[in-house]
Amino acid sequence: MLSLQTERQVPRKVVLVGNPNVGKSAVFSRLTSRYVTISNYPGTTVDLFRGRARIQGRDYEFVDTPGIQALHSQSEDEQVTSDVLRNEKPDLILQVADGKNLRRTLLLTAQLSKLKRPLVLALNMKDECDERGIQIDAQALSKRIGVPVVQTTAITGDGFPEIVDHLDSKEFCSLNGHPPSEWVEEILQAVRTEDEGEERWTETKTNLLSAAVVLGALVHLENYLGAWLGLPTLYGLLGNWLQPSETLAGSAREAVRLVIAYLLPVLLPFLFALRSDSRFNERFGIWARKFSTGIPILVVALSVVYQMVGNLGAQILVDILENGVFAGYLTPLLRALVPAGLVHDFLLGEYGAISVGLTYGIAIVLPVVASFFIAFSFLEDSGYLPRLAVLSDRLFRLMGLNGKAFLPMILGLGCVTMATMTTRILNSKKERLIATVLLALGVPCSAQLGVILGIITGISPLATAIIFGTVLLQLFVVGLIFSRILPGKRSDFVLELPPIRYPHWKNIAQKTGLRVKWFLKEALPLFVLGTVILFVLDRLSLLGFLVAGVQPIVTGLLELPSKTATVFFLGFLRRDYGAAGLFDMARNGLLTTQQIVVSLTVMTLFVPCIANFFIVIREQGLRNAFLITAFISGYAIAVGALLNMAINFVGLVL
Amino acid sequence: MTGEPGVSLTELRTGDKARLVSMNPEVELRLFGFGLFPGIEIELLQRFPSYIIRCERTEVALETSVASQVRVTVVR
Repeated sequence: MLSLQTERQVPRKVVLVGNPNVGKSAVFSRLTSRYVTISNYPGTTVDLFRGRARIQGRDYEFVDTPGIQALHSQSEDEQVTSDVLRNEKPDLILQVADGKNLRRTLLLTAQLSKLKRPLVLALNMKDECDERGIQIDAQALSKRIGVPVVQTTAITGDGFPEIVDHLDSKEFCSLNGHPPSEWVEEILQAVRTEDEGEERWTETKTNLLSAAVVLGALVHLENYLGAWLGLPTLYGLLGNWLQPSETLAGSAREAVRLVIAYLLPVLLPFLFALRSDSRFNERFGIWARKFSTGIPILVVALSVVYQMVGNLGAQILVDILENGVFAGYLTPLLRALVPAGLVHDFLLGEYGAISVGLTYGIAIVLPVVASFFIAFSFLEDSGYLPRLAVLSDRLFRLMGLNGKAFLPMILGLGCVTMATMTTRILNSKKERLIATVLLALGVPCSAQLGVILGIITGISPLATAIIFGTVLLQLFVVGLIFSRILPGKRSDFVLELPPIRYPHWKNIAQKTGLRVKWFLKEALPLFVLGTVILFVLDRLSLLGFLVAGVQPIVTGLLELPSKTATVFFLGFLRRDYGAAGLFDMARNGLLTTQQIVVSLTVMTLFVPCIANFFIVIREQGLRNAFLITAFISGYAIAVGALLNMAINFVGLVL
Repeated sequence: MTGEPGVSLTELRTGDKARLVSMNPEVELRLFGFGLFPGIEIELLQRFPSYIIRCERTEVALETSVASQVRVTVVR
């Protein structure tokens, strides 16, 4: 064979390095054809990614690294990058940079030059430079610093042939660690011209888009106020302008309102995806980080996500899959095929791998997770999340954290396990521990959140408020206590705000696909495994003992039906699986509203899942992982019991 | 106040442009990474809930305790 004749070559190691959020992962994905998650906030990549590629007959190993501000590292993710550069002696450092920020770029270039490795500088985001009228004379810059300089747009592939041409470069940077202040201004003068950039969109279009957002917000507000006050009261207050009526004009108005309320949130992403001007983005970026406008925008954003996940995912899609596909066709079909007996019970019985495990996983949780991932990817790529970190900084400071911790917290709504790894972007050990505990305690992941949303659409706003209020309060209380008793200090809040960008639908699709695949691979087997364990325990008549063992807690303390005990057991494997069990019970009328409130609160505060447990071991060590798990299990039940007693004591009817 | 040149960043008003003069060594290294060194011109964009400054095309949010350790001279 040919490969036997040619000399076995060692792949050339190319390490991608750069400031946070400049597009290293996008460049990496393009060079290796391997997709790694790309978002618009600093700290998306917290670990190394390696990928091999054969380009023009040569083998390369590419390494994607977490972004760094400078070589002397601050946080754990930056340390990862420094270590790779120092220990692995790359054949080439490919510095990826934001072309809009040359000064910072060159500062890092100067530091990298001290490592005495060949270097190539890729000035990424050429599209945004063009949009803003920033022109960089790459050749002049290349001559000045002594290494190839290429301008690229990773998301479109512009400039990649030039990168490939320089992958074998042996040029060293001539800056040699010079202090930057002397030459940097001179270079900047020489290589760039800048003006404010022309506007692509007209003022009218910008205003139209803003008007659409405001309109959507108003309609949502009406829904909430209506649910809160009762529609008659609301219309009484507003006069009869909004009142649905039988007349033609009335139904037309009603139709318009429905379109705005339900289609707009779904269509908005596509509206945004159209090319638009940078001025609207800039303005939105300012509104989002200001207190007075930021809070209303947050309310709108939350309600849009709620529409996507709670209505589209948890109601419409779940209904189609569960009642349509599973209960409608699959289960009856299998029932007809499999004769009664052990196999039948194993697959389709009370604890059947298909009738319970797969149904919960695919018909209840998957649609919810998928619709959440779409909405969430959109938020991630827009650059909105770091603005929320600014708004929430003061709140987090009370919990011994700072606004930066908002990122892992909100990512936890996607997947607590992945978010636990992201706690590496926090600068102190104490902060990482607190964030890990809070994530495990009270941040429901998308799967669980979706199931919760599915349940609460059936209960009163007051009951909903009690559940979320209790959980949020626990996050706050535990954060407050831990910040007082743990040794160490919190670090200062310093965070870069990326520009607001229009998400690329392709990246959203890829990212959602990757996450759904991950869910199917990681979570679904656990769903089935949990069911199988229950089935075996049930067959061996051990389940009864187990349930009887926790009976005092479940039926006594929490006043829940004894079947809830098995659901809590499932919650140990994955708390969303437990929540799905509650969802099932609630729909079949087995739980009163008070029981829903108590059981959901306990399940939300419960330990997240086995996968998260392993990640906590990796990040925090075995001892801390066990302590955290023990603390949370006890705490969740204690809060549930107190909540139940409080509701009884007040005599609240939910 | 301390006799150092310039004023604290926290004394600027929103929209003010200023030149960085010096920083407390404690925060210096972290800010260098964002391209914030002495001599650079910045603009204060917001004071609450966090201070936000722009330098080149970078927007950086700082909490008060960091901002108060940065000294600047007002340009305009």
